[in-house]
This record gives sequence, structure tokens and C-alpha cells, in this order.
Amino acid sequence: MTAVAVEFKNVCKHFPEAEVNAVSHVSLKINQGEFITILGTSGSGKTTLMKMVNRLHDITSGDIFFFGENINSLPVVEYRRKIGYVVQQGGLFPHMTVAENIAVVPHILKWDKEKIDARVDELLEMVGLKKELYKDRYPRQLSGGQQQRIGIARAMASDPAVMLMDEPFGAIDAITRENLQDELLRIQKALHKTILFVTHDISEAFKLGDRVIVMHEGKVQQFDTPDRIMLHPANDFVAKFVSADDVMKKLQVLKVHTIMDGLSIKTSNQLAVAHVDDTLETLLKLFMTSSTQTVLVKDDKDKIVGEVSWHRLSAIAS
Amino acid sequence: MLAFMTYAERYYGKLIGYFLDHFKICMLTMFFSILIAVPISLMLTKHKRLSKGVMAVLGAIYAIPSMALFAMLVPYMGLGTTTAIFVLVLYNQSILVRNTVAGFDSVDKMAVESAVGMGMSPWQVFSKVRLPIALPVILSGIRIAMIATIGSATIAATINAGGIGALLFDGLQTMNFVKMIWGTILAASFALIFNMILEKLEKRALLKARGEYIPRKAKNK
Ligand SMILES: Nc1ncnc2c1ncn2[C@@H]1O[C@H](COP(=O)(O)OP(=O)(O)O)[C@@H](O)[C@H]1O
Ligand SMILES: [Mg+2]
Repeated sequence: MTAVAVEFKNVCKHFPEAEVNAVSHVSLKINQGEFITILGTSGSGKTTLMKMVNRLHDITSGDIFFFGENINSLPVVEYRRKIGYVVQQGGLFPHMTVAENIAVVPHILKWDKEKIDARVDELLEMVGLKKELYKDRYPRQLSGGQQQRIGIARAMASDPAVMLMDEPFGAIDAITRENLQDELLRIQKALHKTILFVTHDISEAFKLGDRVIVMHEGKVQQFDTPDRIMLHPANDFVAKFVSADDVMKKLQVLKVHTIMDGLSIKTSNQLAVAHVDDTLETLLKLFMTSSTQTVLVKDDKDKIVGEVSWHRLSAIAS
Repeated sequence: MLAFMTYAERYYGKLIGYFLDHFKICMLTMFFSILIAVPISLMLTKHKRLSKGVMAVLGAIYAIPSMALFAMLVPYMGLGTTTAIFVLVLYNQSILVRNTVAGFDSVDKMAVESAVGMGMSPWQVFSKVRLPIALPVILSGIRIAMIATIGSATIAATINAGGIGALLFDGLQTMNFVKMIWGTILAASFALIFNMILEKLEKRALLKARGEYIPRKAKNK
């Protein structure tokens, strides 16, 4: 059984002079190793919800637990060092080199120099930047996407169990954003970090999240897997917000494994193979380009684990 | 010209004395000015609502003619260096606080939030992030205040604070041009030298804050 990394118990946040709660009666549990996306329109309370986790905002009522401990009982500065934090546009320190930026927390934790240097190199490699080229550069000499990579490396420097990311790719062009999303997924798969990731972009939330928190007016509308949200929206708001009745949207969001059937023996000469985590959109293209009636499905280890018939896919439309 | 040189030759010890007195007044003034301006600025940066009122008060003080302020304070504080420094420190607050607040305001909010969020202590956030980024603008304020102080401090001689002003007023009273010229030269070169030094520091701080600073050794290799 996996541990619960972060638990909200009836959490409310009320800002002075505001008419309504910015976050209202949120109770939910986030398991260790889960990639959670927080989705909602602007002003729905996503950032506020996240900032209560690392105590940038005080909780008005209710409790948040971090691996079972009430966060208000922990010394705040030391507690924050256990959590990686990435903000929009990186929030890098302009007067520090890339290496110095990444080394901030290890430095505070008084690691010795060799250990810090080795860690900086390791992290640069992890986020796909050549250390010889980037170590001594300053943030202003980097593109937006590169700055975001450094922001992620910096947040991971002391190997925190939990990462908070507030619209980290919000200001980045579409193609770079796709690349960053893919790399973040790869990193998360390799390191099993618990990630809370705020976004207002539905595709991004559904692509990245193992589970998605849909927020509206400070309340959690639904907290479930992308597939279940798409197929069984909890209320009208969610249905409308994620366009659950839009076939194209479904194809973009739903993954192959949701409609996959067990392997029938007569797999004669189908050549087309999809991945369990591919979207139905990708699957549709595969059908159209290979002109088969059935596509095989493989898992991460390239093992064939099932199949999807054209029939099954077209049923999604109805 | 000759009289001018002879005076320096005969009284160079005295000239140096005036200069050192002046230097001391200016340095003490700047020290206390900064010591007071930084906390005020930090408070105003945090509580924006206070900013307007406090800046108005500091601006009003700045607008009082220095002679008037000296005249007002001497009955309470007496003649001498302490009163002079007190007045000069008061004057400086307007320039220093304005620039220091502008400096701290120029720091990227997201950088500060990252610093706090990643677990820096309040002191670390200040010394490692806010101050280095705000420094060029703060230094610019210090430079302007320093030049103003060097000038205003000459007037402080009217309340027996000493310094280059004593030489100037002495010259003025006895219509001794040599003294007046020496006083002017001393005060002006003092101001110019400090302007240069502080400009250098400011430039360096600016390059550092922006991430454009290249240390010497890296340049040479
Ligand atoms: N520091 C603050 N002071 C007062 N109100 C705030 C503050 N931060 C956010 N709010 C309000 O709380 C609500 C939720 O904001 P936020 O969590 O930033 O939304 P989101 O991140 O989903 O766009 C908004 O109505 C916003 O105006
Ligand atoms: Mg937000």
C-alpha cells in the first residue's frame, strides 16, 4: 500500500475583505508517486489550494497533512525544503548562474562542494541541457523553455518527495510546451515524485495527470482519472468545462487502455500497434493509415497486452 | 596663483584637517541615513498603504531650507556636529527611501516567491535575493544622497559643525578669496571622487543584478 503524501481535510481559505472563500471545504488524499493536475478557470482557487501546501498561504480552517503530519505543526522553513516549487516563468534568480540557481537549496542544506557540483551536473543532464554549455550562463541568456527546465532542476535539487508546479509551462510556445510535458512525464515515471501541477489547459491537465482535480469557485467539482472525468463527468459544470460530449475532445483525451479489449487468439496479420497510453486520436490515425480492422496494444515493456477493434473505437462517438 | 599655492603650503595641515572633519561628518551622516532608510523602505515595500503618507512627510522635510531646520533645532539640540548630522540624516531620508523602495519593488515577485517557497529563511531571502537585485537602484540613491550631503554639510559650519564649510565661511567673512577657492576645490573634488567611486560600484552591482557581470579572471582566460 502506498503512503498518502498530501491530505486535505475540510480545508477552507478566506482572504480578508473577500466575499466568498477562495478555497472551500476541500477534502482529498494524494498518494505518494501520483501525478495530480489541478484544472480550472482563472480565479477558481487552483493557486490558492497549492500555496496552502507549502504554507505560502495560511489555512483559514481545516488541516493539511504531509505524510501524516499536520503541516502547521512543522517548522515552516525546514518543511518547505522538503517540497520542490516551480512557478510560471521559472522565478529564477537573475543574478545567479544556472549552476548557482540549481544549487540554492543544497547550499542552504550545507552539502559539501563536490556533492553539490555532482548534483548540478546530474540535474542538468536530467532536464536535457548540456552542462558545459549552460552551467555558467545567466537566466537572461536562456530561452523561456530552458529557463523552465532550470526551474524544474532547481526544484528537484534536494530530491524532494513532493513537487508543486503552478502553471509552469503557461507562458511557453505550444511545441516547446509539448516537449517539456513529455520530459516531465519521463522524469516522473523514472523518479516517482508526487507532483501537484496547476494548469488551466484541459489537454495539459489530462495528458499529465494520473488524476485531475477539477476546480470551480473554490470547490473541487471532481477528482478522478482523466478517462472517468471524460466518460462520467460529476456534474454539468465539469461536463461543459471538459466538453465531455465533444467527440474530438474525447479522442484527444481518452487513452487507448480505456477501450482496450483482451487479446483474441486470431491475431493474424495486423501490423498496427498502439501504446496503452496513446490517445484515441493517435489510434484513429493508426486505423486510417493502416486500413486494418483491429489494432494491437503494447505496454511500456513492448509486450502486446490487448487489442482495439474499429467497432470499439467508433462506439465512442455515439 | 602664488598666494593660492603658498596658502596650501603653509596651511596644508589645516586643509587636511578641514577635509577630514568634513569626511567624518559625511560618513557618519551616510551611515546613519542608510541605517534608518533601509528599515523604513522595507516597511513601505511591505505595507504599500503607508507609502504615500510617509513619502509626503519625508518630501516635506526635504523641502525645508537647511538654515531654517538648523535654526529650529539648535534651541533643542545645541550647536555642533551632532545637530548637523541629525539634520543631514533627516534630509537624506527622502532620496534614500524613494530609491530603496524602488529598488526592492524592482525585484521580480516570482523570484521572491520561489525563494520563500523553496525554504529560504527571511534573512536568506533578503540577503541572497532581494538585496543583490535591488542594490543598483539603492546605490544610485546613496550616490545622490552622498553628493547632496557633501554640499549641505558645508552649511553645517554655520552651527559650528566644522569641516570644509568652516573654511568657506571664514573666507567669506574676511573676504579671503584664497580660502574660499580652496574650500570650493576641496568640496567639489570630494563630491566628484565619491560620485566616480559610487558610479563604479553601481555599474558593477547592475551587471551583477542582471546577470551580465563577468569576473576579471573569466575575462582573461
Ligand atoms: N493574496 C490574495 N489576496 C486576496 N485575494 C486573493 C489573493 N490570492 C488570490 N485571491 C483571490 O482568490 C481567488 C482564487 O485565486 P487563485 O487561487 O489565484 O485562482 P487561480 O490560480 O485558479 O487562477 C480569486 O478570486 C482571487 O482574486
Ligand atoms: Mg493561478
